[in-house]
Amino acid sequence: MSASVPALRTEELRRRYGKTVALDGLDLEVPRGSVCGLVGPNGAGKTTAFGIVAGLIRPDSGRVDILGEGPFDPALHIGRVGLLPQDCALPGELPVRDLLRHYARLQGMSSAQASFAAARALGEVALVDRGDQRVHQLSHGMRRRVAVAQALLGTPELILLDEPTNGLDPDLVVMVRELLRSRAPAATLLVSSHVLHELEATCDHVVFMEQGRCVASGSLAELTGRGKELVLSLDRPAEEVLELLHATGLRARAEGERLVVTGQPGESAAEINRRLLPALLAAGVGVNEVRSGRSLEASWLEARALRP
Amino acid sequence: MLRTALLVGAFDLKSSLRSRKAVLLILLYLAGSVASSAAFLEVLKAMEDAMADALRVAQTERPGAMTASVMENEQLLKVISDLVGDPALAAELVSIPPLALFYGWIALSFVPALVMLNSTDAVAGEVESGSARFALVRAPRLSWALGKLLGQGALLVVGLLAGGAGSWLVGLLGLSSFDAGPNALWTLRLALRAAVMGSAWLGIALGISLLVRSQNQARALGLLALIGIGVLRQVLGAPPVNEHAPVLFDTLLLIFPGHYLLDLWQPALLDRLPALLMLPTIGGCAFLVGLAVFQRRDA
Repeated sequence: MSASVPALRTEELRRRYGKTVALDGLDLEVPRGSVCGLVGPNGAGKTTAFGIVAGLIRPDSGRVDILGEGPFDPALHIGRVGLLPQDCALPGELPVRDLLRHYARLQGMSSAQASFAAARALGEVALVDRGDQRVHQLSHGMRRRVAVAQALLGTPELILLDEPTNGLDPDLVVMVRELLRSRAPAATLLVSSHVLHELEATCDHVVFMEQGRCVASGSLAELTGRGKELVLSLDRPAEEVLELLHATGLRARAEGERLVVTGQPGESAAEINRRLLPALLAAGVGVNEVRSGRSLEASWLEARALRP
Repeated sequence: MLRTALLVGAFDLKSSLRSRKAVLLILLYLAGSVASSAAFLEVLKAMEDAMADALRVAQTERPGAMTASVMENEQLLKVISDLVGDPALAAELVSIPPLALFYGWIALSFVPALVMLNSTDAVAGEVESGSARFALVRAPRLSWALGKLLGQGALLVVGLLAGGAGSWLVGLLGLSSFDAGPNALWTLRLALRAAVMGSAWLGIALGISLLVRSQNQARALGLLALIGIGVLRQVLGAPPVNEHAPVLFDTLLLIFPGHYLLDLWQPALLDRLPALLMLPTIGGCAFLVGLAVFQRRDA
């Protein structure tokens, strides 16, 4: 498949549950090889979108295009699409290793290949020593890791992860984040989470959703201004230093306590910094923090505020 | 498709055998057949003792010897023949070892209830808990549902065989004239015939399970179907109702599993054939109705 064809595209996707509108014309595009974060409040339609993409939920209308091959079709996509559903209980009666082997075999692997894939998946989520335990004997965090492991079994090209780090302790969050990042760009990952700083650390592409629609989408750099603007926390109100920066030719504005500085079109954050910091230091302004771009959280709040 | 269905079926059976519910079910089959067989032997012993007293002969320590003679009696054959209205069937019934006959009767009578209690939540339970989603992203719905049917079918056969083995063991330990070979053979045959009866109910149970998304709803519907089908069959077959439109009602009765109960006892394969064909067909149709809905709805 051509790299220019998105790994996932939805057009005008709609779905209602009775009077509740879950998806209201969702247009989504996930570039191939990206790690894309799906951000939205509860009820935004993220889980419904995942379900429709994975062929588990029927849309009322609209189009889904997976890997440039149309909607989910078992004949085409089994083993090529991985899914971590939200709040779903894994079958608990069999040992974890047997469960993963079973899923690998359903993906079309031979018995030997399935054993290898299960062992590898257990290793990836640091559960090798728990392979012989039944799922229901595991803690919540361990079950979550097994659920992540099953989504990554084999070599899926599109991996859908609904709240993958939900219920994991901080060390495991880092581990899972690294694991997910290691799968790109060979695979495309669509990750939903409420933990925005977590998505910020994992994703290179973001889609903001609200009330079943896409509010904004783009690369993380585009949406947060990362690489094009600097956000500074100073030892005095940002309003006070705006005058100082006129002479530098930089465009600056105060956003609450923070100073947001933008350079000329095409100017990188490093180039902005080279002009900005000397001016501030020369004026005796103390700089507490400098970051490239706004936080994802700030971008999200801005996108919501701009929504008509 | 078949590979996936077999994988799902084997996994379902394996999971079921390791679950408390299925172990309980098999114990129920086993305990039910052992207890009823033991009770049967007690009744047999009481009858033989009474007969021995009447004939002024010594009582036997263990029952069976006298019953074997009674079963060969021409008068008994006539009584049973009048009862079932079919001399060939009566001859077949008296030729079956008594304990195996009793096991067959128990198995055929209770298999509908056991299937409906055990299998109605096979799909609905997994859909409700969400565990179905892990499989359905890897397996076409048809193959997955077929696999669940195979898995539950295998569990039914395991349960019936466990019950048969229990009954046979009771006979071996408790009957004085117990022909182990013929008893084992007949118990096995009747277990398989009960499985054929079970196939109709299994299809109905899975069909219901495919229709709904809640385990409790599936169980309630299953119970309702069990009672409803039984009552409706009695009503349609009852003379005051049946005589109004006998052709219609007799035709309708063909879709009720209970209609084929006596056919399963027939000695000739040709006479058993309607039951052997229709019972799985009834189950298959019910399963397909459920599957048609499942294919179109959210999982």
